[in-house]
Amino acid sequence: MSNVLHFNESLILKIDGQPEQNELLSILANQLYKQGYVKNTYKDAILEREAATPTGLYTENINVAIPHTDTKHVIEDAIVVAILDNPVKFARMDDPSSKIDVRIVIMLALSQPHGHIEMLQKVISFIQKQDVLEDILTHSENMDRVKSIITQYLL
Amino acid sequence: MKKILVACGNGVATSTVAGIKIREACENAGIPVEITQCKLMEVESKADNFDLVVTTGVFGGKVNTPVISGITFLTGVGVDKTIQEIIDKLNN
Repeated sequence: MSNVLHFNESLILKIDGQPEQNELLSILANQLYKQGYVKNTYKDAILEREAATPTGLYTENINVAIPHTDTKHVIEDAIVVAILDNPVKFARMDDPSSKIDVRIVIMLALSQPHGHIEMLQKVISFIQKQDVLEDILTHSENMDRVKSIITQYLL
Repeated sequence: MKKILVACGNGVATSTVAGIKIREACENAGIPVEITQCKLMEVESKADNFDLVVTTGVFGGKVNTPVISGITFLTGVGVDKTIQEIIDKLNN
């Protein structure tokens, strides 16, 4: 089993318009599927998981969601990041009855439990760097800049 | 040695991060801990063997072991308070 975690600029997407949550999750899951990192069951599993145990993280400023699902749907580990022009509603992980506006989504495809500890820590500390997230959203029309900021923190 | 059960939706991602931070905080406080990860749905059957349960998602069940929310390990908002709560429970 490969231990590589795939993440590159083609896995950083800018989403315009106003997609519903399911639509957005499908776009991201399809991106992982197209690149061969997840099975064709991954998308539905992500949608089910998000409905059952949501992943919206309420930060009091720029909220982030980190959708992920069971390891059996994953072929090779990868993450895909979405910068949203308009907020998409997610339920809070710690309070599923509350919906929050999310501007950045980091979808995780992990093939083994408890793996990629370093990467997971990077993702979580990235979410906590609110000044960096603000910078990203402020300059989201310049995707080259956004991509270079994100890869600087996540790679 | 105190035993802590850390649970998240599918026991794969967020409990890993929370578990590392809990271990670090407890060691800084001079409390040796053993961390075990699991899925939220496994908490009810496992909790009795632990001194404390920390969850990143919502645990709706009933167990005798104290349960604390560990969401602040992910959001960073109010994490010091959560650490203090964990230490207090373990010292209890």
